[in-house]
Amino acid sequence: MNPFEGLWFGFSVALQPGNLLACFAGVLIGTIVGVLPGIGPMGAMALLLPFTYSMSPAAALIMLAGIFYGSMYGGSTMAILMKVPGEVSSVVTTLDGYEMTMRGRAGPALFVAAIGSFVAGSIGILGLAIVGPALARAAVAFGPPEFFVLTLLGLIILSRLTGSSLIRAALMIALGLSISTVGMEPMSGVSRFTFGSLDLAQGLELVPIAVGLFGIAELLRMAEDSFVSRPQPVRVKDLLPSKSEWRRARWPIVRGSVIGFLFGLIPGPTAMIAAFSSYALERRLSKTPDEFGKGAIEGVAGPEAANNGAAQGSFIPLLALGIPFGPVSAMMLTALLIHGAQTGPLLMTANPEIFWGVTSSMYVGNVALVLLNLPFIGAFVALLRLPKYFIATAIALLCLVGTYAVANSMLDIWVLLISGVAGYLLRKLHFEPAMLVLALALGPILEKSLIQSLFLVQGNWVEIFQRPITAAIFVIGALIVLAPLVLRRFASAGAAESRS
Amino acid sequence: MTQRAANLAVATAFMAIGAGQIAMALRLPGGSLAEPGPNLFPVFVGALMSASATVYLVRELLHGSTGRLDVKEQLPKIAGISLTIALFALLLPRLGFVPTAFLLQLAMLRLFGLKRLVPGMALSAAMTLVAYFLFTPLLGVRFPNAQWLG
Repeated sequence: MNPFEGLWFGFSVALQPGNLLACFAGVLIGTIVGVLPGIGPMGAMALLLPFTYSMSPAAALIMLAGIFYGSMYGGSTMAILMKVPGEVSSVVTTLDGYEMTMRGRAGPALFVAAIGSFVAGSIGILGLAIVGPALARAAVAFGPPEFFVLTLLGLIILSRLTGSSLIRAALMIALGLSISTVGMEPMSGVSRFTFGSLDLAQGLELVPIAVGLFGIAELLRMAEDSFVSRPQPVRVKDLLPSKSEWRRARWPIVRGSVIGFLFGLIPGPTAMIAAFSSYALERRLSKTPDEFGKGAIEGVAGPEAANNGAAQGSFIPLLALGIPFGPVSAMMLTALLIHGAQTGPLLMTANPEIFWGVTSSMYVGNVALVLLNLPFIGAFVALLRLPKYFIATAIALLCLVGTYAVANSMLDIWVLLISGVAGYLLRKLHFEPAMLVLALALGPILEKSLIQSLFLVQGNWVEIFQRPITAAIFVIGALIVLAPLVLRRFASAGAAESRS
Repeated sequence: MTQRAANLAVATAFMAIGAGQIAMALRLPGGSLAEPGPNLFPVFVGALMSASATVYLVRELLHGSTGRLDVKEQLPKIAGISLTIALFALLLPRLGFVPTAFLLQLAMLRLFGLKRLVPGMALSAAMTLVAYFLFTPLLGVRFPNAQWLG
């Protein structure tokens, strides 16, 4: 079956009433857990896994997949409206999304986020069907040295993400990496910096730190009446993006979709990394980079498309090779095994209704998400008209309960509080906590790949950079870092010449 | 407090954290580059932090920031909100979710300007119930049992 016949067959599976219902239920639950800070798709999937026993394998997978990409979709809502990232991948959306809200442009921000997610989903599905299996095989060629170089260069390139000074970004990265070393060391199992606490042995969760640095810190900022401008009232006609906003958003959406899809193929917190990368790229390509962080629509469109693209892309290694690259795909693999379905490359031939049914259902799910979300943009924006005491109290409760719900841990609430106060003070001192969150997410991957690489090359670290793929990544990374500096030097030399 | 003093304090704090991390990491089992131990990465990270903090400190000493960092006026409110959250963390395992969430919201509403008690209590009760039904029956979150209420 060629990809188009496969997609056609997939639609005949996805549009069966039972599968359609599973798809709607999945995206609805996903949107709800995405909107709520803390509770992520993993929790919802784990909770609903037993309910899938009575379903067909295709319906079960369709529902679980819907929860995952639905949560990516919902994660932007609170990030844009309240600066509380519903999902960790929405951290970067808070940077410009919330600034748009403060300028009375919450409607266009939500609208562009929804359309960006839809476009990314659609591109991702085509990619999954057409080039997915080949790309998945290429991604498997990445070993620890390749991941180490990729992650390291990613951190270096993304350190100029927000326009804050390089040295401040380096300090935030160091702090994030430092926090990531708390807990059991991944290779030897030795406890580090736990001070004898069993709770700390598992390491510090990303969610309480991210929600604290953004949600609780914003709550503390809201307490400063004289410093915080209230969101401006929004008129109905202001719910839609203007022509110029559309023009500025369309290419970031396309680029973000492609970046997200490609990042989805590799292991790790790819939705988050893709969103950060898209933001960095758009800032670099923009004619007005100074607007980033102050409400640039490109800063919402690109990252939102990217995190949804990554969600779709992450299904490729699972469906094409049977390899789960993250906890969510591992949960879906569990569902496949429970239902006795074939996993691995034979899934496409042994259970075509699952492979093509899930692939096509994502398109149905993306349409459902747009239909579910667009009519509610007005209602979401109307929330901003509620009194400040109500909004602040609701943020506090959602942040606290959502964070507790991640692991039913009281430690997480204390971490949330400490991160909140730290986030508030860091902003006062002009630090950007987004870099800390990124480093915290990448820390374990960086450490594990470094240790594995050093074992592999028997301590001869130069060898890490001599492998063909790492050398290529290194050259590309160096070009990305150095090219703007060289171009700027040429431009200033040219300007000086024309003046003389 | 001046911005310069705050920046110097931050640089010193980061230097101390970096140095502390290196010192503690060196007490962990070591290894070699060919067989790295659990202290390798933390030592690298501690060194990165100390080096960055030193550059930050030197830069601040050479080209000091101007301006003031005024948090004094906001301090009571910030402290009030932080204390309320800390109380939530302390009371949740002792009183259970419903009474603790109710008290948290009542305090937050007052801190953010709703001073009248009756509307505050009504709103807190309504929001607590909504949160309870959203998180417990629908999302399956298990809150700790109330130790003080048996």
